[in-house]
Amino acid sequence: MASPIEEARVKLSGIGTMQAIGVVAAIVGLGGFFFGVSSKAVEHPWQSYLYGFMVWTVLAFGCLSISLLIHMTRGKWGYTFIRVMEAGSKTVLLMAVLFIPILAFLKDIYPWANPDLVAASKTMQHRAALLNLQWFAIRSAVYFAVWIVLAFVLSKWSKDEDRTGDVNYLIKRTNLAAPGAVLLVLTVNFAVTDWVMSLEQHWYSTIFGLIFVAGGALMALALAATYLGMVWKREPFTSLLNPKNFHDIGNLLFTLVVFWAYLAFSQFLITWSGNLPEEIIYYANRKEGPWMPVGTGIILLHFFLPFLLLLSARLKRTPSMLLPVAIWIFLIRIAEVTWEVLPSFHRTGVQFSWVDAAAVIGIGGIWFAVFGQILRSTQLLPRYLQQPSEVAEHA
Amino acid sequence: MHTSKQEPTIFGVIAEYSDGEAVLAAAQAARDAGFKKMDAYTPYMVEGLVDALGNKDDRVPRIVFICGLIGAGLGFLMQYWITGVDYPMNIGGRPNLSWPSYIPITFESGVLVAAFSAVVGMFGLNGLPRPHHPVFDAPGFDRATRDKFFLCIEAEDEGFDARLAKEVLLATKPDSIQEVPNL
Repeated sequence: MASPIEEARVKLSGIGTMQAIGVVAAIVGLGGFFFGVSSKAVEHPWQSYLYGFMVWTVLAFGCLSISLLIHMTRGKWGYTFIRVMEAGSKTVLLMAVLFIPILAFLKDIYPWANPDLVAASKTMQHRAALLNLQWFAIRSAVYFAVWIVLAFVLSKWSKDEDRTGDVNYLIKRTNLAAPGAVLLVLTVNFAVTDWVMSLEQHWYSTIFGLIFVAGGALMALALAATYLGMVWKREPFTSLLNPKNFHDIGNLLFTLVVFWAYLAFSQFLITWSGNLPEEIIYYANRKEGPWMPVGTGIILLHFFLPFLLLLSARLKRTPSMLLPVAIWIFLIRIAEVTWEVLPSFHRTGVQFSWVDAAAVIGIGGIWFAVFGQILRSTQLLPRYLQQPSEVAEHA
Repeated sequence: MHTSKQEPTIFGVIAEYSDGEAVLAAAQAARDAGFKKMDAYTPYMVEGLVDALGNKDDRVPRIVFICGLIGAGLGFLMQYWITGVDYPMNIGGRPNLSWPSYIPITFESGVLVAAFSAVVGMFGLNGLPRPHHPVFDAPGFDRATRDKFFLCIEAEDEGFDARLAKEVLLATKPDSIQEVPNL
């Protein structure tokens, strides 16, 4: 007889709906994007593609970071949604495939791939040793290889532990997740430097990658909280989840909101204090056009609003109140990545084109369709959730 | 039923248990029986006990929040007064109200005052420091700091009735049960 935990595999009808919406979004979004490419609606359409790619790649490695955190700490707080995070982290393979067009259209996207711009700038010539097609492709392959190995091996061991009941997998998972977390922070740091920071010809910031590490973890945890907020009314989730679990997740969301704000503000304060031409350009550029109100909105709605709401213990302990906050954080994360990436394209005319929107929707649609497919083939709750050790005490 | 406003002659009825789950169940039973004013004494934190006791007191979080805001505001004003009013300096042509550089100290002073207010507020609301409390007279109560768990239904409760309180607590199978004199 199947236990309630095993039955949780098939009962979530919402996955099919999510996939259907994902497929429609992918068709509409990518259709719109390719129409934009062919009709030359924007000067560099593959920059829009990079933007859409980044939004969902941040979510993919964010899921991997939360998954690593749960495997490393073995905290029961994460076991109710660990399978969702594992499914999310496996989408790094999808992102690796979706990265190929970026390599193909490098010249359209990056200033360092444009020989005229490189010839005109001494800094760019110095950077050419690092920023060239071969090196860029090799490094990107390494980042993806690390993420794919971590995501798939951890997920496999997690399932093998379930199947065999062999607790040695518990130790193996932890032993891989701990160095894996260090590797993830390093690779994300370098990946964001390569893929986003290099959009600027001269600007650099050593904390930039970490902003994406924190932001990705925040977005992934918001996805997890949204998931729990939607399923908690059904069995077996109702009997597995108590207000304390939601309190823990709410606290971790709060922590990541503050951590993100701390990193983002650190970069701003140092740049503002230094006021050097090659550094301040990043913020000077974001004072122009629509980016000033967008940036102000991100300070208020990405930091202050979730910060103040998540101070309340009652909100964190009430799933129906935590759910809208989690959805809000997920959505405002997209706005934040937009603010980080799009102004670096230095467009002269329209700052946010419908081609950008089409790319985000299209790639997001693919992401959710694949994410749903992985979830579908997964048992949503691990059997080790019910192991008595460490369960009651370290909730 | 007492109708007079006299001080009750006993402080309450106290029951002794050997583990956290028992005291948690007892607190729930006492609440279900209609008692509101009670307290538990345990050697370590028992998960869920605060809720089971019906404690909805959120004055400490409120105090901490307000004091945190005051601390942050004062920290900000202090820096503005120092660098903008009392001794303004031209640093790289920046305005006197250079708010970005104030943020770290604004945050720190907010946290500092909030943390102090949490400690002071908790002590104040608990009536601490306090050299004596009636439950100290319950025999064997010193084991509350070692290996015993106590639940005391207090006589201040509007519907308090010592006989009923004993009945309810007896049903929870305590190790012992006794009245606490109000000394």
